Amino acid sequence: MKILVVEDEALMLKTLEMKLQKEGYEVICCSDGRAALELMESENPLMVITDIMLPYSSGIEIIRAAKQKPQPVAVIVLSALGQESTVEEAFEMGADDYITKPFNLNELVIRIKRLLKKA
Amino acid sequence: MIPVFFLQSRNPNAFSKYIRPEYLVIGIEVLLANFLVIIAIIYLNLYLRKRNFFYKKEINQQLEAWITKAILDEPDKVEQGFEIPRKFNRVLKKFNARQIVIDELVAIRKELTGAAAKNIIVLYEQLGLKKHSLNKLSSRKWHVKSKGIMELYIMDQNDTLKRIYKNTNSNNEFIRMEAQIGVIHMTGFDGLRFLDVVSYPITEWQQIKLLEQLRLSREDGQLAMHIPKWLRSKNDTVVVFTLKLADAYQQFSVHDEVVKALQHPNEMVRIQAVKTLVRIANTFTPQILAEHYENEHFTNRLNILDAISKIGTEEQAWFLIGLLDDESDVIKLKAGKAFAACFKYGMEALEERGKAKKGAYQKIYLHNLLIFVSSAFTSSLRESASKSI
Repeated sequence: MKILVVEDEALMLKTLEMKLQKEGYEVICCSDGRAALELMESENPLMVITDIMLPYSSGIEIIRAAKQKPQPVAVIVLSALGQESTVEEAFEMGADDYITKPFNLNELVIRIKRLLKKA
Repeated sequence: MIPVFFLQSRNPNAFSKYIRPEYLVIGIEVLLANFLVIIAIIYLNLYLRKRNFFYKKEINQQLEAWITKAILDEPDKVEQGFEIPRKFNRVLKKFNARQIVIDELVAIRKELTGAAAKNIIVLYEQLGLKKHSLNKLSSRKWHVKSKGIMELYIMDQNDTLKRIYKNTNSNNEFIRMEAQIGVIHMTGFDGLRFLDVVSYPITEWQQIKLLEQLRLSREDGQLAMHIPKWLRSKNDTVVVFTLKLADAYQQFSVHDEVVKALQHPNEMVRIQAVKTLVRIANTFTPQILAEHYENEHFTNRLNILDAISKIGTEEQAWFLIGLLDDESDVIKLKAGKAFAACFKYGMEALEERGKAKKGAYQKIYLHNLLIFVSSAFTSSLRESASKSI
C-alpha cells in the first residue's frame, strides 16, 4: 500500500517515512506542494498525509487534487494548534481525518489503518 | 562634480585653487580602498553563509538517518541508552555542530509526543546537549539566553525550572516571554504563579501565546482560587490577562470579583471585564452592566450595549428605551439592536418608533430588521441542514 507523505521539515519527513516503512507501507516522500501534486499523478498513492503550510502549493490544494482523482485518495491532514479554521477548510475540501501537532506517531498509524480499512 | 568642473575649466590649474592635486589622489585612493573593503566584507559574508549552509546540510545528512532510527527505537532499548557512533561523537565536539543538532531535535520535539518524544529527550541528554543549553542561560546576550530557555523547556528539563522561573520577571522582554511560556510548558496552570510577582507588562501578543500554551494543559480546578488575588494585582496587564483567563475557562465562581473590576481606573481592564462578564453571566449581570453604563466612556458604553444584546432580559427594556433618544446615532443603533434582541416585542416597538419619528429611527429599525431576518435565515438553514444529515 502506497502512501505519499508531504512535510517540509526534513527530519520529521524522514521520521514519518521510517515509521511507516516499519509498519509495512510503501512510502513516497516530498517536501513541497508542487512535487506532491506531480507525485500524486505519477505514483497513484492510496493515501496522502500532508502538512497544511507548504512551499509552492498548500495542503488544501493537495486535498483538492486528491479528491478530484477518479479513484479517490484518502487524506490525513497534519495541522498545528491554532489552525482550526484551516482544518475546517480542509474538511470542506474532502479531507478524511486530521491530527494536530504535536502528535503521537502510534496514533497516526492507528488512524492510517482505520482509514485504509474503510477504503 | 569637482572633477567635471576641473575638466570643463579652460585653465587646467583652476582646480588647484580649491584642492591640491596630491590630496585629490589620496582622496581617490581612500575611496577605492573603502570600496574594496566593502566588496570584501560582502563577499566574506556570502562565503560564510554559503559555508554554513553546506556545513549544516552535511551534518544533517550524516546524522539524519541515525537520529531518526533512534527516535523510532523501542522504549525497552532506549532504557539501556543509545549506541552513539564514533563519527557522531567527533562531530559533536564542534560548537556549531552541537547547535545544529539541538535545533533539529527541538524542531522535531515540538511536533511529536509519546514514545518518540521521550526518545528525543533521552537522545538530547545522552549527547550532552543539555550542558550546551544550560551554558546559554548564563549568557549576557538576550537572544542566546532566551534560546537556551526554549531548548530546556521543549526538552522537558524540569530540574531547570527554578532557573527558568527566575527569568519570568527579567527586564528583557524576550527573555521574560520565553521564561513565562517555559514555566507553563513545564508545570501547566501551576506555572501561572509568576503572575504573583511579574512587575513588567504582559503584552497582548504574550497573552495570546500564554493562553495558547495553556490549551495544552488540563485545568485542575485551582484557577478560581488564584483569580481574586491576580485581579488585585498592581500590574494592570496581569489584571487584563486574569480576566481573559476567567473568560476562556468560564470561571463562574469569580463573577463578583469580575464585577468589582468594572470600577478599575484603567479603561482596558474595564473593557475586558465587560467582555468577561458576558461569558460568566448570571441573572444579575445584565442589570449590573446597565447600572454601570453611566460611569463609562463612549467605547465601553458600546461594549456594554453589545453585552446586553447577548445576555440582556426584559428588565433592561426601559434602560434601552431611554438610550433610543441618545444624541449619538451609534448609541441609538446599538441600543435598538439590544432592545430588539432582549425584548419580546422589541422589533414591533422599533417599527412603531420608526413610523412615528422617521429619520434615524427608521434606519435603526430597518438595520435591526435586516439583522433579525439574516439571523432567522441562517438558523433555518442550519436547522434544515441538520435535518438532512
